[in-house]
Amino acid sequence: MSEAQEHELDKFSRKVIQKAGLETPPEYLKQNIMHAIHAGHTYSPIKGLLTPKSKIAIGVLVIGFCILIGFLPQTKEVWEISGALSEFTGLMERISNQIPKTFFYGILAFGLLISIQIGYLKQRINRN
Amino acid sequence: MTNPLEHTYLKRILGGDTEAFSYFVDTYQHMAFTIAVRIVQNKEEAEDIVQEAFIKCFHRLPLFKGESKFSTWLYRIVYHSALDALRQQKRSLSTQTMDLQGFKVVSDVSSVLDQMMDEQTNKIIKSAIQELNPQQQTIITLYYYDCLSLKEIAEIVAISVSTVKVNLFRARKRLYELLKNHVEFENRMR
Repeated sequence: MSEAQEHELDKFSRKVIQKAGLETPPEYLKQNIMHAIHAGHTYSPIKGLLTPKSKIAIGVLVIGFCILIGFLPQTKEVWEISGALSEFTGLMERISNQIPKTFFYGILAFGLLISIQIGYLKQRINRN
Repeated sequence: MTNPLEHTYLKRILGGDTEAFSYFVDTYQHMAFTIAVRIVQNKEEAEDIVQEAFIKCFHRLPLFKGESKFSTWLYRIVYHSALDALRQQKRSLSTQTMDLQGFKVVSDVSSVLDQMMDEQTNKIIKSAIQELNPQQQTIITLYYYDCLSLKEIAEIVAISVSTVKVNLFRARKRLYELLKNHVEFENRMR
């Protein structure tokens, strides 16, 4: 088919489809839809599994934990900065003496996995 | 992408103003109903499909991110629901014929003849459109009536842009042949 013929066919189809127009739905259709929405279908916005604030909090905790475990020197001087902190670090030390470090890393990895999965699952739910 | 006006209405709905949804019903019910009725060829069933589609859209509004047009999203639901209904119809073998002519009140007597001719032409065109397969009917209507892009149509019908192009070309050709044959037949009868 030549370009000119194709153009003619295009013009013809446009005219025909516009001549046919659209079907007119009955007036009660809109009323039915709005009634159904107003009646039993009260709108309840779906909330995310994690709020942005809690995501930030979790992120800060995880990063802080990583720094505490991995990067700070394990000397007593550093840990005993203030009373509250030294209490916490003392507890950490006691725990780390009882529980091997690999177990800590395992918990950390597990936490990260759950955090990632929550985001991933939420995306999947949203898409469906 | 949703336009700013639609975005405003969407915000209102999400804020709890359910009445604002009537804007979307008013704007899109005609095309949605046309898509459904041309596929299922039954007005009552088309009404149900459109109603369900709108309600579905309403409930899924929080998940609508506005990356595509609201209409694309709605028409997609209508199109696929209508196809499902058509499959069920075929399974139950209870095909119903319908008269697609709408009811019009004729107020001016002098225009009766004009209107009759107009309605006759409309009827012929509509029956020719019905001869196309559901996908072609939807593609040609959305392309020429709603002036949607090939990409948007591809999204609605869930096929590639190149397949839309091919189907659009076939639909145009088939429509032309059907109407040409009709005119030739009418001429022979005279």
